[in-house]
Amino acid sequence: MRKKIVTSVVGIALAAAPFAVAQSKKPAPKKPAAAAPAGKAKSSTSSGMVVVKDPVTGALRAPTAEEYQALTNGGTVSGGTSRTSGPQTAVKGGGAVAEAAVGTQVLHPDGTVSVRLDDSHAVFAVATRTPDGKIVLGEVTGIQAANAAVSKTGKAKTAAKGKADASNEK
Amino acid sequence: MRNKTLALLTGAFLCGASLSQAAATVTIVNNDGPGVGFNDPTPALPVGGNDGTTLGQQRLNAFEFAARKWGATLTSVPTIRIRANWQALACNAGSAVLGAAGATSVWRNFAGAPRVNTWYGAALANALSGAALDPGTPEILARFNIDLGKPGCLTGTFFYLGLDNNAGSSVDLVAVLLHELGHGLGFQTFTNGSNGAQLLGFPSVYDHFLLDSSLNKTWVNMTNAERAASAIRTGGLAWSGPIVNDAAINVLTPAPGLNVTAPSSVAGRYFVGTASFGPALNTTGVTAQVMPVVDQADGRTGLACTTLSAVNRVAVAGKIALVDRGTCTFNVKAQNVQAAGAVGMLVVDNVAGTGVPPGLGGIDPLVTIPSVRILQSDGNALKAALVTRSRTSSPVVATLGIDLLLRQGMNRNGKMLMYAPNPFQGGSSVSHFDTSASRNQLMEPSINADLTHEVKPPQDLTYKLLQELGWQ
Ligand SMILES: [Zn+2]
Repeated sequence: MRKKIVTSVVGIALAAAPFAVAQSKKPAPKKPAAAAPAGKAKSSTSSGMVVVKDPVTGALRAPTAEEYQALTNGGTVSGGTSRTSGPQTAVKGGGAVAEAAVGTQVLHPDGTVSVRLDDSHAVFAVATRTPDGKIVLGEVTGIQAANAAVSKTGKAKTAAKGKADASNEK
Repeated sequence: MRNKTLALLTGAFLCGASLSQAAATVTIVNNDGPGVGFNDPTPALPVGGNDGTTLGQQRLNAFEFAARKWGATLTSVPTIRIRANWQALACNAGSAVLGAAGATSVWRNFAGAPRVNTWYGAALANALSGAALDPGTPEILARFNIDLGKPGCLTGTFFYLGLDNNAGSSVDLVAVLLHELGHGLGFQTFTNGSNGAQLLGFPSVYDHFLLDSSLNKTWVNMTNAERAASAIRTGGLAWSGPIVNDAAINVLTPAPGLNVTAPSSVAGRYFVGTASFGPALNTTGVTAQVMPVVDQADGRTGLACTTLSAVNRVAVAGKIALVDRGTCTFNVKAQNVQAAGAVGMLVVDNVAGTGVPPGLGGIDPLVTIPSVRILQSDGNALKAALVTRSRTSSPVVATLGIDLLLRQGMNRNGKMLMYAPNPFQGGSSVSHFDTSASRNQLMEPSINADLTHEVKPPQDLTYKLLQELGWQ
């Protein structure tokens, strides 16, 4: 039962990405978020596509100018300038949040805003065996960084516990 | 508020007893195919309280153990769903990606959100709003390395699937899971620490509590450049929230320190780095005037690398000697000031630093006085106060010992330190407690061998930080 739900969600999520790309409007010089490879999703989220969950139909659509304004200037806390300036993309469909592309802000009828995340924000634990045979655990953000940490074995940056530089040097 | 009421009612109906019992259902949504991962039919022997009879069942038991631990700790009306699977992740003979966990989505301005225009991970957003905001999607995604220990994948080092925290040289899956789920539950900023950019221009709830003690600002009140600088200010990035800090006093170990009681210009508590030679510091401490050794041409530096002059001997006899790092090893300095009658030694670092100074290495059975390192900046402040000394008397009075008001892992203002190494370490920086914490904490960036599987006091502060974010 649980399994079934999950499988269907995955299906929608995978299908949504190419669909969002196909629907991108003309003036979209930047890569649409959904098209960005996982590791580049940080830049995709900051390019910031936005869609609106229509209050009447429940479907996702491009925001009106007013909605866009409300979404991107919604009282940003001081110090944070909004970088939500990317292309607006219409995504049709049933209205599940998972349907929106990764990094796309979805404005819901009650004012809630959601963003689906991908591997670029996940924290990956990496284990490395040190020359003396110990296993040291560290972490990196995103699958690309995780892959890179493994590829340079022994050089993976890991947090050292305790006091550094305690040698009896001068 | 609303979800708390409901949870309490549920508790009352179910057991009619403890109304304060935490209650959340955390489920593992098995996303593996037949015969794979959680469904691997390879026979397995019981290990450390995990009595699954197949590899797959044991993996699932370990996940469910970690899920139950969080479920017994947190309160949430909506079920917290963790979509989990085992798959090939990057590895080679000497290192491996163990796995990952994270929120599947973030939310702001939902009904019940304590702070506006602020991102919350899906699980916390659901708990705060009292219902699943996206009923069709699990809140947390977890993937783990199916090949760990096989040839070419951290060869020979396997996940320990026991539940008894007895992993030995293996990797304790439950501990790693508890830690990664901590991130998935909210122990994480979504702000980019390397350039300071907030996710789509909005702060994470975590950012409201990140306090930079140099700027005296929280991350939500900084520019991108200020945040990026703050993320690498070792010893300067702290947690502002009272829930964590009040609890940390009772969880963390008192720290070695120098408590300067006079003059008022420099009075205060200073962190010290302890020596591996000489007597250990104790809570009684050594109280004395602080006197500098001066043996260099500049008239203010004292290396104490040779037998002290008559003037220096008179100065430091019965005092805590202040010397400078450099030229000779630390224990030689200690021997020289000890021979002159000093009762303790402060080595002023010769490079800039922040936070807790490094210790003093070396072995020397001849040294019988306590010796510590202090930061260069602190040493300079003391030297400024020392200019009014006479040949035999100092205005600076201090106690060197274990300071019951300082904690290992908190700054001297009683704020929990967050991990802020320089250079920035994506994935580790900011979203962890600092490695100076003792006792060791689950949410330090390296998972330590002596960790328990506890997530709350008296052992651990993870739950306290989650409470600060809004979890009940
Ligand atoms: Zn971590």
